[in-house]
Amino acid sequence: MKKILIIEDDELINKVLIETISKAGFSPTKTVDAFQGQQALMSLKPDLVILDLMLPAGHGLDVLRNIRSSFQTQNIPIIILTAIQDEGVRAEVESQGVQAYIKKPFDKEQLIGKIKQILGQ
Amino acid sequence: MTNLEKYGPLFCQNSQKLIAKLQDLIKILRENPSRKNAYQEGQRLAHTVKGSAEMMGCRGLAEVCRVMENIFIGFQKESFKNEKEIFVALNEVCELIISKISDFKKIKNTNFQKSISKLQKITLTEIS
Repeated sequence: MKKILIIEDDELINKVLIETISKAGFSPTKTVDAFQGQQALMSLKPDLVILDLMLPAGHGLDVLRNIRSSFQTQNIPIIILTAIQDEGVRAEVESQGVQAYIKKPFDKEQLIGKIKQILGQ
Repeated sequence: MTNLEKYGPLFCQNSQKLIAKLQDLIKILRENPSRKNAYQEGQRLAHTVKGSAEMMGCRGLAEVCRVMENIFIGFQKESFKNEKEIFVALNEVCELIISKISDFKKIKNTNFQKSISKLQKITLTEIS
């Protein structure tokens, strides 16, 4: 079963994500801040990361840069899931190489479709 | 999104917790407005409630949180000179949200227009 790491501080969105992703046949793991997310990244070795940008204990953009700068994690596909509307932030994020940028509120089916597409399923 | 009503109680509980934290932060800032990292935290808290409120279809709450988020961004850019007045208004908005948020239907049907207008007037923040 493909492993999906969620780095998202909002409890409600985490619950929705866990239920949606599990139902679609993937194995989700939730983390609630930037520090915890980066720790789980090394121990879990996920097949895909869903990353929020406004996080406690660090900005998601820094997490993204760290993922992309480490040879162990640089090829992990990343979906950004954020309520940030700023196009400048989006451009900066996309320049780091992400597989998708999805704005909140998100459509569950669209998200699962994107995950399946990225993971080749 | 559909079938989200079942998340109503969790949404209310979670948002109430976050708004209470925001209120504590405002109290700290009223006493010590030079704590720069507290403005970032305020931005994040308002942003988080905005995100889940949008997802749950609570447009009024999402909108007032968006205005509060912008105010905290404004504080970081040192855009305001009437900080004390803004803190009082932010605290009032938090009080109002907390008074409504225990009931999902109530919060969903509240437009917060008066609060939004007041915050806009004080800060001249534009809603795009």
